[in-house]
Amino acid sequence: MKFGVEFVPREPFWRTTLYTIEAERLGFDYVWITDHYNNRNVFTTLTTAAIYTRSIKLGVGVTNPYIRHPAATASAVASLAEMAPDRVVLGIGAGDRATLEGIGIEIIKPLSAVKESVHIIKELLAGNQVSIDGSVFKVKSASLNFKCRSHVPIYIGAQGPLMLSLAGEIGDGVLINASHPKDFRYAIEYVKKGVEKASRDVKSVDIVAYTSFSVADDEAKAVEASKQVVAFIVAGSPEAVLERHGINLETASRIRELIVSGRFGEAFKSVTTDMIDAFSVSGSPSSVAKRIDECLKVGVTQFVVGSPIGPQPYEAMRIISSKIIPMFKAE
Amino acid sequence: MSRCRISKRYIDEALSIVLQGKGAGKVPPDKALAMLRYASEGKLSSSSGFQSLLEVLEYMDPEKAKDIRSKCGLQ
Repeated sequence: MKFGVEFVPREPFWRTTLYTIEAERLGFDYVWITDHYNNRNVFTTLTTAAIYTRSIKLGVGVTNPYIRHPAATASAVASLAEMAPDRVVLGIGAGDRATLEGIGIEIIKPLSAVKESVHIIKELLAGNQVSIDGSVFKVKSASLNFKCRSHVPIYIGAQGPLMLSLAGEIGDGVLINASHPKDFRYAIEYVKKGVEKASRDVKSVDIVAYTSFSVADDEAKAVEASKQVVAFIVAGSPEAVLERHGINLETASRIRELIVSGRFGEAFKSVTTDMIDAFSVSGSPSSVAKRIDECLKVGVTQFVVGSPIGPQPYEAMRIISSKIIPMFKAE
Repeated sequence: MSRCRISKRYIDEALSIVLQGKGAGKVPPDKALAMLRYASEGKLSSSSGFQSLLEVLEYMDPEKAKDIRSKCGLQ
């Protein structure tokens, strides 16, 4: 099992860099930096991380085809790969509807947009000239003026069946935004369909659990820390997902209303134990290790600890490093 | 001249505040970059590396920086 950590670059550049340095020192294999226009820029953040680290893989986690044209993304990752050969990984998905619509960008034909983007990016990174008359992108004889120094694996951020299947078909990896083995089992079935369609080996796809995670020696504190994130996940989850976990739809609807009306405190207080269990990996080192093991057993190959990581993120990273990673690296 | 007593405990304490404490936005980029260089080389425990870490801490929590300096015998 590989371990990754996700950082949201909402703090000054140096702090995310210092976290990345520590993540490398503590034995994490990957760092994933989120891409939202209202935070620090993902490529600037990863560039700084590339300068100050030596081995940790640097992941864009994840961009989308709408905020930045795939040709511009190809140029950015190729530039980054020049600084950190064999360490750059590109995550791309359909994007966050709420964030994009807030700046007037409409998510049109997300499946085609991601598929065409991956094609354009792969061709450009391979040093080829690319032309495509797609349903989203029209590109005529485009090429980079420099050579990408190393292979950049492309991971697809996927939720729905079609995107999951596409990830299995064309992705080097799939980033599954979930925290429960039940969701991974469901998702991996669709990834496998894509894998079969492309006559690939499922082992060639890195199946990444992109989790909401919280660990502390004090179980109650770890659980408490995850409530905010879980409230937002519940508010944004489709009914089918809530039903899969037996979540009371009325309570979920109430949380959604509270968040929409800005009554966050009440929303967080309404989060139930079953919601935390469904949408986060939270608890003491032994309980989160048990959950990671369950994920491993359903086919997850990389486990990413995402927000909040723990009530004290740095202390949580140290716990993961000393008590959890060794259990899975020894196998 | 006082004797420098840098222990892992104080490095951890300072690092923990620098990573998790408030006021990160007050740290000048040159101080932050100097500290990152030491951190990336695994030299925060060296005398100059620790000084650099404390210089960053000073912008975030001056009292704590003073306290650690005093406990470590650093002026």
